[in-house]
Amino acid sequence: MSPLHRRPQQWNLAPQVQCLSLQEPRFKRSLLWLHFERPMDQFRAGRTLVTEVLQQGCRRHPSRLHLVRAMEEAYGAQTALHGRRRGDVQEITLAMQWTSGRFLPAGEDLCPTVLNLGKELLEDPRRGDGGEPFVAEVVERERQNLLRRIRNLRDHRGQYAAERFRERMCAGEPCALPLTGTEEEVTALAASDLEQARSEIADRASVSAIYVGSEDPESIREFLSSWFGTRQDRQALPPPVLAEAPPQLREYFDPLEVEQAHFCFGFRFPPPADSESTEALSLANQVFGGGPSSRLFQVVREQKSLAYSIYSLIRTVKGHLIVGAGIDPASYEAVLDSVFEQAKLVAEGGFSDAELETARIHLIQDLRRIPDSASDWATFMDRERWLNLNRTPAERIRVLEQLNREQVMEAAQQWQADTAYLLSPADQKSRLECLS
Amino acid sequence: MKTVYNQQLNETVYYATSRSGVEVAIVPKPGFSTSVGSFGLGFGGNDIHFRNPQGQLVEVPYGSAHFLEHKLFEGKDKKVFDRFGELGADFNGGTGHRSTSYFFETAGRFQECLEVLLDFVQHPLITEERVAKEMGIIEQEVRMYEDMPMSRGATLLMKAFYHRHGLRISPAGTVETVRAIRAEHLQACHDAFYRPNRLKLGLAGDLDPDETMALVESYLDPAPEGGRDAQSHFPEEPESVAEKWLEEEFPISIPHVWMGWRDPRGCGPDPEAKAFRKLISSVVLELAFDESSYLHHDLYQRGVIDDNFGYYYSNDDDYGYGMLFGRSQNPEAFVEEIQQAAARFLHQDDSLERDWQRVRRGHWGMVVGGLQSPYQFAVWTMRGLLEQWDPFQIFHMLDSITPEQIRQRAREMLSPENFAVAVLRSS
Repeated sequence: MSPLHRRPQQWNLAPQVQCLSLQEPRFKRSLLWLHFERPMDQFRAGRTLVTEVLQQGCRRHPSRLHLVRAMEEAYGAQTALHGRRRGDVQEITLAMQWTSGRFLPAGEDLCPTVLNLGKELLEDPRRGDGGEPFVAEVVERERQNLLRRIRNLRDHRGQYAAERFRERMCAGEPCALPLTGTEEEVTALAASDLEQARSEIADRASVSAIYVGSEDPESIREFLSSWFGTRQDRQALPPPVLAEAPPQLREYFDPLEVEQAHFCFGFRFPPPADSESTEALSLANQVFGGGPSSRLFQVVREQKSLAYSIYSLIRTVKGHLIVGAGIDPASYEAVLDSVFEQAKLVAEGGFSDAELETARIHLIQDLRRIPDSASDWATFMDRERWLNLNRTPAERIRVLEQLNREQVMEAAQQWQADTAYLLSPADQKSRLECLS
Repeated sequence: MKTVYNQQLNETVYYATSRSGVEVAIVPKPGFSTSVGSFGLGFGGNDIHFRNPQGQLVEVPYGSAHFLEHKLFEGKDKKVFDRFGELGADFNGGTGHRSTSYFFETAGRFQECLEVLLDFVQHPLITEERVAKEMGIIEQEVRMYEDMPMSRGATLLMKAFYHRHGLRISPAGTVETVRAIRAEHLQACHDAFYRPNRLKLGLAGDLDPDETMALVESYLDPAPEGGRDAQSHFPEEPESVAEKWLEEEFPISIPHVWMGWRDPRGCGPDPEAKAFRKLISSVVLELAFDESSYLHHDLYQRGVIDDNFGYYYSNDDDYGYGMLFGRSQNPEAFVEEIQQAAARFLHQDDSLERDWQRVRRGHWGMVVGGLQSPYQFAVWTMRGLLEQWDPFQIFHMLDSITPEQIRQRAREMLSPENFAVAVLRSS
């Protein structure tokens, strides 16, 4: 059987605890991702800070130094906690990776070592000498690091522009909140808040485990069952908040001393209901701004030389289509016009058959390459879970192969312009509302 | 074909040289759907003064190698974007200070992609009109780098390290140098350097080495008649650092600090010596400043460094440097702390042997994990072809490094007179 037809094993270990597993002996390094998911709410700052504190040591390895040394001893194994925003959800991921014993000098089996280390990170933290939930100095140091990261965000221009754009476009939705929390929220966190955040992640969050590697999946299942199988009170996530586009485009401008202006644009669309409309949306996006063959790239970069790069991406569950580009500030109007023109063109079928086929083959090729990488496999399985479609790569390919021009046009006809944003030197764009 | 086999990984690399002189490495990956090709050469942003194969001296503006990379993607008759696009392949190019490379990644369209890759790199069409059209795009790319504190600060440190070396300028050039580039400059670079004896090809996928080599031969041009190999001329570089401390104002919220130790000289063209110096110097920095070192632990605990702190070593025939970077409201105190830590490392001897054994295991696992997919193999073998080492040599080097060699390299490398600092201050 071609690897493209392989479907991961799925285990429901407890309510709101699911595991997807795929054994693949070709891979030299195995991975296990544990996603702990909670809503983007007022507790997100605590969750962010506690993931940093937890990585500074556990009871058995009481400092970062000890933890990192343990991972080096395990032939460069990785055990890390990190958080990200996924629509209206805050996802805290415990990511573990290790090298298969077949490729090590003495054939060591690292799997149990790494899994236990990962579990200890979350479940067995280093406590304060006086019985405090965490060591006070560690909490304070990580708090200061996090505050610095919040204050320094504007030093990373593209990331800052994307955050500011999201705040404007999605104001009032959970996804508009800063993942890290605000400076005020982080400053106000007490050690007890962090312990509450930790136990909430460990005990109440929805858990999705994704395993890809050469080890016997039964050993992974046993480990996860013993960890998660007994708790029955995990909470389901609320459905995503879906907003409608405003009647007129909203335009925002942030002034910042930059060499290059950052342009963002957002459309909204009703999230697709099934596999076919999901793929039609992917294909429409690919034609529009999905790569070097797309309309946006060809027109904005290749024909008009207005940007080094311009792209679009979709957030399917939230119903967002986002365009991003680094541009000369004076080109704002021209880029904006191009975005509108090309979106209209895709919706009206003004693209050639060759463009459609190029977009289709690109998506299919991407899918064909998935089985060659453990992280690509895991990312694919995770996305399918997130979309609640749980298809194989072959099933997605089959849907893509059968889509016609009208379905692509229909997907693009759903796109409603919402917000345009420019991060640019102050003297460049007086017409736009100045927010800062 | 010459083969290099690694028993532990059960991987083989096949080496051959084409009739025209292109060095080729092929890594068969049975059962993998993806195939990857990487075509590159030892020519990059630093090669701005050279004697061409006809013996004439040529000077081109900084940024020419990178501009040429962009122009090759325009193709002769049809855009490379369109040709690869129709095949659904991923592709890109990259220009460094000393090398340029182009790659594709495909599932099931290897032969067509290989033909496109070898065709567009060998057969450009460079006109003034095409150069003018690209100018605005590259200017935006250069501005993008200039807006990045990491890129800006690293370049500033190169200006502190070096008096005249090409490392002082980003491989993409500056807005001013890019505006000075003309079609004739790019054509001169292509004519001089994009010749079979300079080109290298790394291929990985479910490939038969003999059939693949036959295919490669059919797509490669014959070697041009006559002419010598192009020779770049690099300015004489004094052995001392150019500036002990350089600063620049930049719109950032907290000062960014780069610092490090410049090797007075490169270690010459011997590939083994270069690869060994790179590895052992990286090991020195890792043992001194990585998260698993006591010095890092102490600096982090005291709030001197944060999670932004990092280190890096780079070298080639004629240069070498170790770089550290971080952020601090007080750059002077920050630098003082790092210098003191380096001095402590040089006197901290008791745990080195044990630490090295542990760090060596970490390297082992990471290298094994990095030699997995066709993409990783193609990239790794291309680096090996350009730097003239085989992909598994690193295991031998890891096994051969002794604590005494580490001590010796640390003493040589972390010398205060080779130390320089670059600071981006908040404007």
